[in-house]
Amino acid sequence: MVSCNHSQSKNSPELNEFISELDNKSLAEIKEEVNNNVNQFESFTKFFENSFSNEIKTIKKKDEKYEDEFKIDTTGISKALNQFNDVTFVQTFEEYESQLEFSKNNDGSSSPMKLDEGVSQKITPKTIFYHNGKIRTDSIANYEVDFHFNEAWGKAKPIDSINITYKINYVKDYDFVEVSLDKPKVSYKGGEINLVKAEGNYIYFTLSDTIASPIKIQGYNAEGKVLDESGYSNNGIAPGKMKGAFTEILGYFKKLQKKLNDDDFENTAEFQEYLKNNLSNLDFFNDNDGIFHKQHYFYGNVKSIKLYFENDSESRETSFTARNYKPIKETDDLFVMETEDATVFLNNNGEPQITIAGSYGLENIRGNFYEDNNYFYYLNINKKQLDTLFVYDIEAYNNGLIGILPEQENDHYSLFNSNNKPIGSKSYWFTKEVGDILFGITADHKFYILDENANATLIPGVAKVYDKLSNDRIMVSDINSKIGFVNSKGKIVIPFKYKNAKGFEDGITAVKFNGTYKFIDVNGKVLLDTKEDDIDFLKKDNQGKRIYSFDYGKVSYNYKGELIEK
Amino acid sequence: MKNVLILLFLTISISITSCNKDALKYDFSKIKSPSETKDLIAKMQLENIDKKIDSTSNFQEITLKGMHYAGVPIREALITDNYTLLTTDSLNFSAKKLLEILEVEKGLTNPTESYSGNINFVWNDETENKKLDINLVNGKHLASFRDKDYAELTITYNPVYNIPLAKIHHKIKTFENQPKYILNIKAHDCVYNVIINDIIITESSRESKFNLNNYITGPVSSLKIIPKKNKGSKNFNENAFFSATITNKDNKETIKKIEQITLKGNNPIVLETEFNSTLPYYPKAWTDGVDLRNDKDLKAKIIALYDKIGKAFLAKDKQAINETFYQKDFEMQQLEFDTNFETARDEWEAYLAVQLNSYKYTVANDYDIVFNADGKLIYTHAKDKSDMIIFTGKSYDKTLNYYLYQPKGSNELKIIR
Repeated sequence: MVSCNHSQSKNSPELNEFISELDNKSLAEIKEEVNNNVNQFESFTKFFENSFSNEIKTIKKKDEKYEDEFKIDTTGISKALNQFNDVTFVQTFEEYESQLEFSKNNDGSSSPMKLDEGVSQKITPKTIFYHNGKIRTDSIANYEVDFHFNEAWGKAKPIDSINITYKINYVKDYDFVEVSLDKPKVSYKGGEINLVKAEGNYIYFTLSDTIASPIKIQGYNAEGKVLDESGYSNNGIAPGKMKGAFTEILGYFKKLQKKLNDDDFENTAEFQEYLKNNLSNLDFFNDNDGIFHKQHYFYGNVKSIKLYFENDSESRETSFTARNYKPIKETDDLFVMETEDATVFLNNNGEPQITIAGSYGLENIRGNFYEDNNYFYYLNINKKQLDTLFVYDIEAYNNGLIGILPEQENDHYSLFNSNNKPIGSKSYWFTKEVGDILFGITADHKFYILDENANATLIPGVAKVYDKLSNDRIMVSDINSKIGFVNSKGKIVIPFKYKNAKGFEDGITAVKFNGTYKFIDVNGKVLLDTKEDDIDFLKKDNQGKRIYSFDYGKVSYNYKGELIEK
Repeated sequence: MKNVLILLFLTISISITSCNKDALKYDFSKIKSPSETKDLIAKMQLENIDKKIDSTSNFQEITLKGMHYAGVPIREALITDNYTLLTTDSLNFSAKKLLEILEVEKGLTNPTESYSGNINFVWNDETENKKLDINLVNGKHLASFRDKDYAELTITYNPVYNIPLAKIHHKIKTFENQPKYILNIKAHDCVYNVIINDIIITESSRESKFNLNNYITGPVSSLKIIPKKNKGSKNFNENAFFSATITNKDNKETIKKIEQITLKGNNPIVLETEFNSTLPYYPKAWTDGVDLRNDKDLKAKIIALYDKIGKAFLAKDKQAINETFYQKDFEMQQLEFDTNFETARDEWEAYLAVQLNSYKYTVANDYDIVFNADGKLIYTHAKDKSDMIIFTGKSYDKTLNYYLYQPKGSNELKIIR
């Protein structure tokens, strides 16, 4: 209930915040928490009996561990600003509320980048674009953009996309102050830093509480090497006085516990009043000495420390748009929401349209096709019922078509439209999606591009389709492994002639033919011959743009195909 | 004074004796089923109210004085819905004693070493599986058993199946001689049809081993093998050859040998022979079956049978499934002289899986019928579907296809192999 590491500022606002957090709790809940916490606190004070002073030790030279000296590194800032260029969210509905979970899709890491010291970030939603056309900008700044958990995002209404600003604040310039046994007392910005004790791996110093918190503290051994830190504790109370403070708090909690268990309070408000009147009397909450006590432990025998203070900071901001992971195709799609005993289908405005008794645990496949653990379903809007589909598997494609395997894994795909009606004249042994483009492959190894009406356009000569669509070009190869490119309509715009190639980006790519790598544009026109025959793995620069490098980095070109001077 | 002393002495000895009685109160070796386990927990709960044991919980750890396994003290019992894990104490050679008790109870079994270096003994039977994990604190060898070594006994119970299909092993007879006739083929650059007793068991195959017992119904059997050239070739290739032997796997005796012949030309070669197929048991099989070659209703009967199978599985009709498959499964297991309880149980669990996972069945409409054994035994090859009957569930599929015959006096087909 009370954190051990509290800040240097006066404690009443914290106390008030702590008290107001009890607003929504019942006395019964508070009683249970206090009973639990007293037990935990008791074992905690036992811990303090063997206080930190027992961990002071001398470290042998060979056991020393070091770390790098602090420096501001702003190269990560650009990277951090560009990390959100492909963000999607999964929206689910529960009890008439929206839940969103975000996901980063561009560089293999699903969480936001970890930031260095002195860097802080803030992610703020600015505009929500609902599927019904409404746009909302007010009271959304507090909705949480979380990459691991579902967070509440207001009433149940389908969202197409969200504009979000990302702001980074980082230390641009800093001061540092060094304190050592030779120079134990230093003045800084009207306050004082005092080295009280340095023994073995332990150092204890104090800071006037008028000095802002340092952004980094590093310890040095006798040779001036930076030691790795193994632990620290910051407090308003001097070490040695901690135990007394905790014993006082424990006694107080025990008193509280007795009063609660004896039902001395009528309601939560009375309890809060009691806390307000009594807690502020505790010494623990009255930090009178104006000093912050810091104890640090290192993997080495520490002789001096450097404290780094922020002098100047800078902010940079960028915006990005997070899209709904399942783009909503039809304007009249319904959305499923589970309540305790029913499955409710809502329209774009969050209004229930169809209610079906029973909780299915339905997951939307696409449009009106759903599944749960045991069955596939089609939501029959006209009949206001869920039709069970007894098939082996259902696949939904980005262009709105549905592929169904009726009986077995080895079946051919039959194509259906969004109204569960069969469509198209062929069935396909295999289907493959590249972006929004759907390829169907028949049993005789012919490749077709399928539009949203299942009209099939044969792409002659194709034996393989590669995975990326960009600049309206998809890489394909023929039966001799020669590479060419098709457009999204299925036209072979660059015939099969390359021995090796990368996908397009920013309008160009590198391809190998006649022995060397050349840059070509989207029409296959050669822009430049690099004269190199060996390409390295593609890299990205700090702005997220492609770098083409050849022959183990000996020669590099930027995303425009311009030579990068070394 | 004397009376007081006697009273005191009696009280003490009573408490000592009852202390000893307490020491062996809850015997896990008597438990044979999950419901008996629950009864024991309920007993422990009743007699030890302050210990807060919950007999309704599906996961609990109990440390109670008086728990034992046939006299070996158990320090801790972890009981879940799926297994019971008993840990002995680490005193008085408990691990060694428990091993000895289990060997008497379940028989000897070979030890194996686990990843952690512990030594395991496993006993699996029809009703329960017991695994003893011995933690040798002082060394890796059973010979170095010390008093501190302890053991963990994991007990799981197998589901009880009352359906005869799952208990075929109870009916299997064993004999002094139990021949298992195997056809071994050594061939190169050809494919072949194998026909035994006028039953086509494979066409255009390259497999090298065939179990023949399932197609034997009498003391002498005929064998016809037709090697053919590879598909797409004009003739047999240069080095193509064929040879085969029939052996009795039981005594390794060679029953018949087809000497190696070089294959030339472009026509299939027909190799025919007879061999001694004496068995202590001959199945009824299709021997009393009706010649189906002129049966006008045959197609309808085939569809009717697969329809019946489909409906039985979807309805989870265990009796119907038992009636459909029993003769086939029994005869085939008996022809293998297989008394292992796992064979029938595994087969039954496979039938259960189809029942559990399927929500639809599809029967082929278009198929070829192959007549074997003078028309008494038929096999069908589906043409419009991948097999005769397909069961479909959510991301689940299973196909079935069998040899069928019509018993004399019946108007319906029956599955026989």
